[in-house]
Amino acid sequence: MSIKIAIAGNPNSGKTTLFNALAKTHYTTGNWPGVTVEKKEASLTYKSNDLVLVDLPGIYSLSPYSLEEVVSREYLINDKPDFIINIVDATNIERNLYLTTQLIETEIPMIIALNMMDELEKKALTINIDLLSSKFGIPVIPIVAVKGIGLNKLLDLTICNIKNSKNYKPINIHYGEEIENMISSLISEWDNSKKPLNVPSRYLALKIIEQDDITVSSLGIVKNQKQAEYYEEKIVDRRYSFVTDVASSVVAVLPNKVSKENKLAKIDNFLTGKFTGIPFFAFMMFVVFSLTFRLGNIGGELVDSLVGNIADYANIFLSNIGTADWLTSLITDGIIGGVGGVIVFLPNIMILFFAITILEDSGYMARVAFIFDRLMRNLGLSGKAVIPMIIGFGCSVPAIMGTRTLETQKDRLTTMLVVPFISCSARYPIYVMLCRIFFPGYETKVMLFLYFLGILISILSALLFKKLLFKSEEKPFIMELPPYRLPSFRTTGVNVWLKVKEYIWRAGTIIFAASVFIWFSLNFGLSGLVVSSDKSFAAIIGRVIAPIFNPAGFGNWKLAVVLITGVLAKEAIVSTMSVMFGSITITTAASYTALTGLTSLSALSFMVFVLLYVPCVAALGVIKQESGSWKWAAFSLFYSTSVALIFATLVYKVGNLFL
Amino acid sequence: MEALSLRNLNPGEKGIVTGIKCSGSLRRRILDMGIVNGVEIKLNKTAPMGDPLELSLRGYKLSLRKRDAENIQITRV
Repeated sequence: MSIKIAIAGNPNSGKTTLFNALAKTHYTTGNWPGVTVEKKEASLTYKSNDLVLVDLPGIYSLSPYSLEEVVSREYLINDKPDFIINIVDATNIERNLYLTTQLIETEIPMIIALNMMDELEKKALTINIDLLSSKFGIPVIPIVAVKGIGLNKLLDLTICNIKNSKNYKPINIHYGEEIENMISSLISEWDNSKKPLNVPSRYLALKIIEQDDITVSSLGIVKNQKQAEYYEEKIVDRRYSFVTDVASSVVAVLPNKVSKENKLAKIDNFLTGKFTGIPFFAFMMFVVFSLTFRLGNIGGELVDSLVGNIADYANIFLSNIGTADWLTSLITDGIIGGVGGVIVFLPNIMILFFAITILEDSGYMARVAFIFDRLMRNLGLSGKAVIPMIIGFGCSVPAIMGTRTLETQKDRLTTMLVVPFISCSARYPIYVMLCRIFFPGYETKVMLFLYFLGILISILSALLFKKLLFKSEEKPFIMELPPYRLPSFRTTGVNVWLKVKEYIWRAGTIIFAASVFIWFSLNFGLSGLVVSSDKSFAAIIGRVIAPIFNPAGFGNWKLAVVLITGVLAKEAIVSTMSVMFGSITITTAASYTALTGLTSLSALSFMVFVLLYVPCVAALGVIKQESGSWKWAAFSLFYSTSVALIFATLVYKVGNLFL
Repeated sequence: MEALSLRNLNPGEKGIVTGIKCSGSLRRRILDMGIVNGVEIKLNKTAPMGDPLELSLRGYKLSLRKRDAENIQITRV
């Protein structure tokens, strides 16, 4: 039998870092049953003990305020793991230990992993570990999760404590005469009759006394709001005063040490300052995008020439061994051309995700939410919605998942419906390709126009949804501003690697399949292998759809096929165009117009359409998953395609007036 | 001693919590975050556009909209 260990702790306590360090990226992610809260699990063998680590979501309390809290609580109370590793941020022990006081009441044996001991020292503070341990009656072990310090000792102690779990005797928080009497009388009542729920007695008694929503509704008790609030406040108050007492006795100031707090405060005043906060954000975004596109393109050109070489060699090799022309064409034009067209953008995507991870882990993203909350409120959203929107420049899929951090369903829905208008990195290759051909020298200006158009449409859409779909009251905004931290190289590296792996995987699967499929549908028709693609299956399907795009100036069947494959993945637009029209590097505007029927103007309206139309299949799938219904995925599909058609037509018609 | 809400503090000023006016889950969250009677809260600053507020309490920083801060009664210290 493997031993189940839950890792529980506050958000920003280094929980993910600890989990990653223990699990060494060998973990599986999924969702908790029935809800969209990420569930991470890892199996590992340590000194011939089989362990299953479960990473609970970061929570402040076990009260049912957020989905994360409900999930964690259900897991601890109903699934009863064998052990809890409670990770506590040593630099912020009061609020972190408040959760500990509640974890004690689950009666699951526990150990406290006191994290960020190095930062504590930088704050010129120290904690008396033995005293803290004896105050709680729980073993405490100091660790530095980012540097991997103390982790083996943590596992040793965990296993030792699991084996001696009979000796686990934590303190009970004393809730005062009145509440303690109520607890005893409830518990003695249950000694005679049956306990109404099969959960730890003291925990249940407290939940009944504070009239916790989930507990009273499952017991069929009618809640008395006034009474509930009275006891709730007393209970919270007792827990916090216990923790405050402990903290004041275990934390001491280190002599002869100077805290770095003042320096950080100065930086913070600059980053969130009245006159500097917003300009700095703009500057930051400028830096991120310059790096992504300038530096990324240098890497991209290297990959591009590599792909070109591979295609050339493959061509020579295949004809030397006497491969049939059609098969050579499938491999070089179809597969290498299609997949290669997408892989070229890997360097851009790596840099963008690297930057986004650093912005998040350094604590700056929370400041961005802080700075823009006032502005986002005008759109009926909370400042936290800015974060998914920024991630959306990388990829809509994690951005839509990122809406989980938002408090209300209305915020989540609005954000996930407007995020796809933010131009994700998969759309960037299309702009690059068409701008090089049709707008040489003006690439940056055209791309800026597209990016800003995407932002504008998402803002207008949020306003529209606020007015028409989700009329409701303003919800509270309570957000921790975590301390600024230097991001760890390792965590950042792992995160970027996961994204790169996914991108390559997509290139190898969806894009590969799409490329092969497109090649076949272009080269085969009703009469088998066709000489001219005019008679191919693709042409037949494309001709049916193409007229829709007439008003926008690109109503020909080839581009219609391109747009259909783009729904699979937006990168597939580039790969399909490479398969259909050949490599872009040798093409001039005039010859490309002859091939595709695109002019400068219709290339622009085409790019506007690509920017705004249907989110890709993956994004639609995530919208379904996160909203809990296909209805919203269908709405997103219909809404964004309509918006795309309107704006592409507008660009084309207005452009025609001036040309 | 004058009774006021957290919202009335000026940046840099501190207050001691004396009561929480709202109810339901917002109240619970405010309590869970450590805003209970007797705790000292410092208003560090407001965001560039005037709202929300940045507070310091119990050794950490919390952001709250002015509207929500109105529910927290304090005495200035």
